[in-house]
Amino acid sequence: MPQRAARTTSPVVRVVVAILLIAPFVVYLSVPSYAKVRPRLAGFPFFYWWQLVWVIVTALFIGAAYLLTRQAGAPKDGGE
Amino acid sequence: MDNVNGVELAIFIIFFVLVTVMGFMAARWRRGDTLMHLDEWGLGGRKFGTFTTWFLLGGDLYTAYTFIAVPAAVFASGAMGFWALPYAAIAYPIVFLIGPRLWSVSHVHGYVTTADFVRGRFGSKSLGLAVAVTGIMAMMPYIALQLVGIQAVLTVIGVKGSGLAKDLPLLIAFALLAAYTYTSGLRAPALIAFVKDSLIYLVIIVAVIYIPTKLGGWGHIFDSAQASLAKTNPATGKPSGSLVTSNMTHWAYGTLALGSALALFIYPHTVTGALASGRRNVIKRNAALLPAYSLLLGLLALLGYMALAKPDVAAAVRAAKNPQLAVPTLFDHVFPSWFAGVAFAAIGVGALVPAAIMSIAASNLFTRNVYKEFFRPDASPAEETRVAQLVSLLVKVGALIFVLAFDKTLSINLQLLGGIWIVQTFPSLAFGLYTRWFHRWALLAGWAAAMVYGTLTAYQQHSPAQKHFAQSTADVPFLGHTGYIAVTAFVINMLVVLVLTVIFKAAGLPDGTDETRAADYTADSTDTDVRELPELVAE
Repeated sequence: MPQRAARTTSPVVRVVVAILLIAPFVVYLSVPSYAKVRPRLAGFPFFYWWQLVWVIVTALFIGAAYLLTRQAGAPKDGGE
Repeated sequence: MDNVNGVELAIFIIFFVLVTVMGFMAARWRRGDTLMHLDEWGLGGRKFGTFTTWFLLGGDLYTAYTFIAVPAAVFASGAMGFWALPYAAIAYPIVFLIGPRLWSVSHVHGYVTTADFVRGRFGSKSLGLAVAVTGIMAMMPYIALQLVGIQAVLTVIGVKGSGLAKDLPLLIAFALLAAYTYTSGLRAPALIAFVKDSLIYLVIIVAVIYIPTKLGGWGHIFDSAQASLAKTNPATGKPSGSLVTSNMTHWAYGTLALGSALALFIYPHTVTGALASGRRNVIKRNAALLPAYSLLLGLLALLGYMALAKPDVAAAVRAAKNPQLAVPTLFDHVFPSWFAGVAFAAIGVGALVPAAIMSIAASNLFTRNVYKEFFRPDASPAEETRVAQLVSLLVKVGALIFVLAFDKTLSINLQLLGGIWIVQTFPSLAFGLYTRWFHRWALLAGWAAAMVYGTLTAYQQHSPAQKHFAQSTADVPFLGHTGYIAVTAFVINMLVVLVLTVIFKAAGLPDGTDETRAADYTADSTDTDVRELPELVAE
């Protein structure tokens, strides 16, 4: 079996990626912080629109984490 | 069978037939040389790209459970039922962290199941067996839940009766599912997932745009729902729910979301879908792309409020004493018959895809980690596949018994019971992907303690309507709050693992051999030692 070194990422990137991935947990698990009706948005109570908006933010954060770590995992591949 | 809606039933059947034909044809789609190898049957040859993987994994989130049980929970208890949204969001950072490492190490060592990895990593057959048995036990109620979804739809279409007539449509759907899973393996659900997800997207988008215009807008829907939830429930003497969580329910809401998120990517069916992808980065990309489903899941949950806001629907569902009928009844009352038929087909097909993947995942676990490991170490690949095919049939029969023997309104709690169990494999599997520090016997002891605690605690939960398994939340010891049992059990699990690891290491108890190396966890398809079994390369 050929020898191959474990690929590593720079410490700064690691910290940024960690923040991107931990932030959704902090937001969603502080339930009392968003358990309120106002302000409403398009008829949606705050409780609902805040959590829906954070789904999009979570996706963007993970997308950013992917772009930051892509080079570390493999040579850039040409999509599907 | 009085009052059957002919148009709805006809469209439902047409889609079912279409999907069945696709299921059988799938055996020819993207096939390698032979289907008689477990990798080929159970992992679809391991070469799905970003697009197919997105549909396939999306099928795991968007099940009949989603369509029926999540809005039902919102209908019945308001904000508390909305925990499925934060769950479906925070699950993906976890997928991003453990998915690629699991893909890499599995492809270097030829692991097909989570139990394969745990056995190889910790050098412990018994720990592998514990993970396999937990996975199989967790799959059964989850498959059962999918069948409950089909049942709810059939009830609203008007297909009911007594005895055999009542269960016959379910038995037919079931037999078809079993037959094409048997012949086509993982390719069947992967191909059907395209139809299913397109239908579901269409239905949800139409529902969240069209229904609010009929009901006076979102603001009015929330206001009516709030008024309805504030009314006293005669069974408990308390309001049935509220529009936002309260001091009583914050903890339950957060722990249900967290515990279920821990479970999502270690469920055997999710892992089966993820390992079938062709490259490491396919999983990373999907972690960022799959939340698109979660967004729709949140809107879907709000269909429960629409059902509350439409008095005739709310009255019909309450009269039937089954909140799971909320969404089917809403569609039946609001949509023209032909579109209600499409919506019901979406739910029905939405039940079949995950049920197929789940039975494949459960049978892979049994075949590799129980049968081959303990009974037939020299089983040939063809024998492995034959056994896996047979077990996938048995698993479905088991799920059917689950559905017919248990109270159907329990479906969400049945799935949550499986969730309580599966979370207890998180330390061995997910933490094991990052560290080998834990002692194998400590992991086994932690798992056992948590399984006993979780199962007993769930069993003791009662309500006016049910003596046991009434809910998946319970008082958390020393905390004074109500929380998801899986998370409490997980904390107990980790405490046992940490304490015993220190003790076992100090005592010098023999630790197993780790057959993996650090570099295995970052390997990609371009690396020469990433395993593509020869018959899989031939396209």
